Amino acid sequence: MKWTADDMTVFLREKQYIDTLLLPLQPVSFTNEMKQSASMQEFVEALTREMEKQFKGRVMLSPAFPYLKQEPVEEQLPKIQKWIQEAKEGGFSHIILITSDAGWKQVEKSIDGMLVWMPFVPFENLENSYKKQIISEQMKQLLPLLTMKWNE
Amino acid sequence: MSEKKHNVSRRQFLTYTLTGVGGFMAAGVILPMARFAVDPVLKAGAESDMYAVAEVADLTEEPQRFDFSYEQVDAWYQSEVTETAWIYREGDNIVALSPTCTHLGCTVNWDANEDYPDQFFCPCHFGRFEKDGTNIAGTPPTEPLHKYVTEVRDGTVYLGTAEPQI
Ligand code: FES
Repeated sequence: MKWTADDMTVFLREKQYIDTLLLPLQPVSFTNEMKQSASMQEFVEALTREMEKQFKGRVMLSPAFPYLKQEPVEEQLPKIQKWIQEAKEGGFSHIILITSDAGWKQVEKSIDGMLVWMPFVPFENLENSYKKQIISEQMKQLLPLLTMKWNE
Repeated sequence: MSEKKHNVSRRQFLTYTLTGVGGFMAAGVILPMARFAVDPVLKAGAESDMYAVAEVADLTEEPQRFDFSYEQVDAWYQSEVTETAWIYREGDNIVALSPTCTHLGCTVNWDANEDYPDQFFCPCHFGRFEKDGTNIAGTPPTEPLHKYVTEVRDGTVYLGTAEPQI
């Protein structure tokens, strides 16, 4: 389900089936790492869009959680925990955080949800067909992760 | 703290708030009208086109996956959408099914679960469908997979829109 009023109507009606929240973690920089931030956003956005398409009936795609790349990830932890907690209160039993920022791997154990780290592929100057191919390759890795999580 | 230091006086605040509410109400009036005005246009835009998707010679009795793309214009963007069809041959008949699960819209795959060979399987809530798209009782979907309008011209299979089978 997308974060739109239409899909939200379906969600509210079919809540018992849509139990997974997909939450992108998006580093933002307005200085040195601006370009990398943009590349990551582009990649993760394409990937999550595809995941939403494949698993529309069970996964809700949340707006991304943005934070300054400059700040250490530890500082984001309390906030992200709050997001996760509220999502749980809202009825999501599986919370999947997805990011290209490797910083999160160091705090993975303190996160109350599944962290999926995908090294980003820069899309700059790539043809559409090639981008699609990359995304479908990444999807092949993600599929088993999700089904595993659901079977837990 | 004295009141004079505030940039927004009480009166100004009231004015702002009221304008805000008024603005909302105006939007409430205009939006439904806009919807009426736009709707017929949208419908005309949805006119079905046919897309070349596969060669008849490549089809088998086993459903195979074919992707096809086209340009779609929604309210803001023109974007390339990719759709998938599961196509198979049955004698002279060509069947093309939509992979969208009729339960809540996940993507189904043919023969994807070891326990249920020769069926379409939905990973989300384990919905299942027969080869012809019929939903299997006891699984969440309540109607068959949608079927594409198909047409064969010069050995090429063209697909139109996917339509409900019931
Ligand atoms: S979306 Fe396919 S079974 Fe629920």
